[in-house]
Amino acid sequence: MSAVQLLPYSPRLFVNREQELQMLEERVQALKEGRDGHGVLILSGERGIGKTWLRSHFEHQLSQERIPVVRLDLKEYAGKDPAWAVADILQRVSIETGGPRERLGADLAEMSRTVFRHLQKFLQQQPLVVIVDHVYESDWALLPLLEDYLLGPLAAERRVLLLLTGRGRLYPWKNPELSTLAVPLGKPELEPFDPLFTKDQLKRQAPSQAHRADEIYELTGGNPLANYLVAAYSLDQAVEGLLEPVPEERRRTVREYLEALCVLRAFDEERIPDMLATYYDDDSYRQWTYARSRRVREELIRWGLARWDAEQRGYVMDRIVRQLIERYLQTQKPELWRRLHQTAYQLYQQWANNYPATRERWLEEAEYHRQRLQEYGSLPSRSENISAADRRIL
Amino acid sequence: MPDSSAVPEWLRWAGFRFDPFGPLDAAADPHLSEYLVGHEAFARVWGEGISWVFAPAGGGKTALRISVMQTCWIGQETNRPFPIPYVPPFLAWGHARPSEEEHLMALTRSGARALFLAMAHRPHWFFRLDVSERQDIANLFQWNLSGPLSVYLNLCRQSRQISPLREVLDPTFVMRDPPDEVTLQQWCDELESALAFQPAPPPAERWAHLLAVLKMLGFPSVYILADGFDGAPETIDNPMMIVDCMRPLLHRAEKWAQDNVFLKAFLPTETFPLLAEQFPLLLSDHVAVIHWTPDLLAEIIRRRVYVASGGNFGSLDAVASPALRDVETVLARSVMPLPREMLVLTRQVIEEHVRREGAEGLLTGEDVEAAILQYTQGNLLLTRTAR
Repeated sequence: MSAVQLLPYSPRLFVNREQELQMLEERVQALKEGRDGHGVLILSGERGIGKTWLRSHFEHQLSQERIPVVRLDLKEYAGKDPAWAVADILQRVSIETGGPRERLGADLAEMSRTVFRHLQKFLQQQPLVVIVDHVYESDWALLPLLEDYLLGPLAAERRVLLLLTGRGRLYPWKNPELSTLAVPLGKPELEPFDPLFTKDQLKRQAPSQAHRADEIYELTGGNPLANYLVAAYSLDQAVEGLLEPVPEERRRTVREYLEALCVLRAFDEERIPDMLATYYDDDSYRQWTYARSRRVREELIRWGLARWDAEQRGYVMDRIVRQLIERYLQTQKPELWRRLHQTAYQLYQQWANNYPATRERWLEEAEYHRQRLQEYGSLPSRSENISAADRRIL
Repeated sequence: MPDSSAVPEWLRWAGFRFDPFGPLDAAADPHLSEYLVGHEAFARVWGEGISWVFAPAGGGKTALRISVMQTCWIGQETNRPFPIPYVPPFLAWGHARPSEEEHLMALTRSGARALFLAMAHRPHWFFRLDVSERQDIANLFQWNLSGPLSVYLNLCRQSRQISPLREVLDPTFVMRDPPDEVTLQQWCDELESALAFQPAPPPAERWAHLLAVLKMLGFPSVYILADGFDGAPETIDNPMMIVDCMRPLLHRAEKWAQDNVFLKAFLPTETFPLLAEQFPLLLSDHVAVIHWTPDLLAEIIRRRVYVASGGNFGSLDAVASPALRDVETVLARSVMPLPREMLVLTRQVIEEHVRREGAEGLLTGEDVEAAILQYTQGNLLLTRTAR
C-alpha cells in the first residue's frame, strides 16, 4: 500500500468558508483602523474539517495585507516539560515582535513581563495577530502556564487578535476572554461542505474524480479532508490518511481499536473488552481490567479521535473517522462488521436484563444494533431478538 | 460512618487529577475559576458595566465574587480590571445604616489592602514609578491600611515572604508568582523610603486618591465587588435593610460607571424585587438570578468532573457501573438546592463506595442509595460541622 499524501494548502485549491473569512477580515480591518477588532476567536471542528486550510488561507491574506502574524504550533511541544515549553514560546514571541532574543528573565513571570514590555511598544506601531494551533489537543499541564504568562495577558491587549485552533477537549480557561467571551468561527464549530462545495472542491483538488461528487458526499457528509482522500485513494488508504496525527508506530494498533469500537454509538471501559475480544477473536480480552481498558480509551482521546459526549453519556468517536472506518469494515470485512454489531447487540441485551434501573437505555442501544443488522440483512439469530415485551418499552 | 481515607486513592484510580469535591470553602479551592468561568452568571458579571448577582444564602455568591477577583489577577501587568473586594465592616461601624462617607472610607481601605497585596506580588509596578508617583502610593498605604505601613513591611521583612501579609490582610487573596526574597526586601525598603508622612485627607479625597493611583498604574477599570451585605444582625433577614445599607453606593454607581468604576453586587435573592422597584435603571442590564434547579446542581458536578479528569470525561457516569446512569441528576434531586449540599452528597457517594468496595471499582446504585440515606438522615452535615 503506497503512503497517503495529504494535499498541502494552496490558495488556488481553497474553496468555501466565505462567512468565516468575512468575519476574520472584518476583525482585521477593525484592528488596522484601531477600532474594536481585538479579542479571541476559536476555530474548532472534527478531524479533516478544514481548520488548517482555513488558518493557512487567513495567514495568506494577512501576509498580503502585511499584518504581522505570530504562529505557534503547540504540537511541537508535545511531551516537553511545560515550563520549558512556555519559556521557549515566550522567547519566540519576543523575537518575532522585535523584543530581545535572550535573557528575558530568570523565571516565566519575569520573561512574561519582559515580553509584554516590548510588545507594548510594538503594538503602538501596528496590530498583531497571534495564531495558536493544536490548543485543545495539548497537555493540560502546559495550558495553565501558557494562559498565565502569554494567552491571558495577550487576550486583554486591545491591538491583538488571538486565533486558537484545535479539536477535542475544550480547556477550562480561567480567563473569560479565552472562554465565554471568545467567539467561535463556525456554528459553533466549522461545518462540513454541502454537496455543491464538495463538487467544487473535487473539481479543484481531484478533477478526475469530480463526477463522483455525489457518491463521495454521501460517504463523507462533506468533510473536506475525507472528500479528498476518498476521491484520491482507496477507502482503506483514506482511513490511514485520517489517522495521520497518530504517530506511525502506534497507528496500526490505534486503527484496530477504532475498528473494534466503530459500530458503537458510544463506548466506555466496560464495553471495550467485549468489542476487542470479538475483533481479535480472542476471549482473553474479556478478562481485561478496567485500568487496561482505560489505556485504550485514553489513547483515543489523546489523539483527538474520541471524546466524552454529554448526550450519549459515554465516549464517542470522531464522526468522520467512525463513519469511514465503519464503511470500510462493512464493505471490506463484512463478516467482522456483522460480528461486532452482534456482540454489541448481545452485550446491551445482557445489560438490559441485568440492570433494571437502566434497562430502557440499554434496550435502545440493542435496538439500534438490531436495526443496523436488519438493514444489511444480517438479523441476530432468533434467540437473540428483543422480546415482544421489550419492544413495547421501546 | 464511612472511612474517607481511601477517597484520594479511589479518585486517582478513577482518573481524577485532584479532588474536586473536597474543598467546601470556595476561597480554599485553587481550581475555583476553572469551574466557574463558563457559568452564565460569571459572564454577566465580567465586563464594563454595573452588574448584579442574586442568589439564596449559601448559593455561591461569594464563590463567584472570589472567582471574579482571581480572574482580575491573571498575568503580570495592570491591563486587567482592578478588583476591590467590598464586604461592609458592620462590626467596625457598629450599625447597618452607613453614610456615603463611611462607605467611601471602607471602600478605600479595601482597595488599599488589595493594592498593597497585589503590589507585594508585583513590585515591578512600583519600581518603574518616579519619585512623586512612589510617594502617592506610599501615602495611600499609610493612610488607609488598618495599621501603620511599617508594621506590614516589617512583617514582610521578618518572614521574607508574602503569606503572613495575606493572612493578616485577606486570606482569600490569590496571586501567583510572588517575588523572590531579595526583590521583596527591596520593595519594602523603597516603599518605606517613599513615605512622606503627610496628614490623611478626608474620606472622599482618599477615595479619589485611590482611583487616581489605580489610573496612574494603568488599570483600565475598577470593579467594586460588593458582597456580605446580609452579614449584620440587622440585615441578615431583612432585605429592605440591605437596600438601605447599599443606598449611598447605588446613588453613586452611575457616575462611577462613567469613570470606569463598576459596582458589581452579590446579593440575596430577596433584595432583587426591592432594588428593581427602587433603582430600575441600574438593574436594567447585567442581572443574574441564580436559582438552583436540579439541572444546574448536576452541572456543578459535571463541570468539576470535567476539570478534575483533565477533560477526559464530563460525568460520574464514566466511572459508574452500567446499572447506574445520570448519577448527577439522581443526586441533585435528593439534596437541598444549594451547591455546597450537592458537593457534600457527591463526596459521600465516593466515601460509601470506598467503604464497601475499597479504593477501586465503579460506583454503584448501592453507593448512591447509601449516601442519600446518610444525607437524608442528617448525619452528614452534623459530622462535617463537628470536624
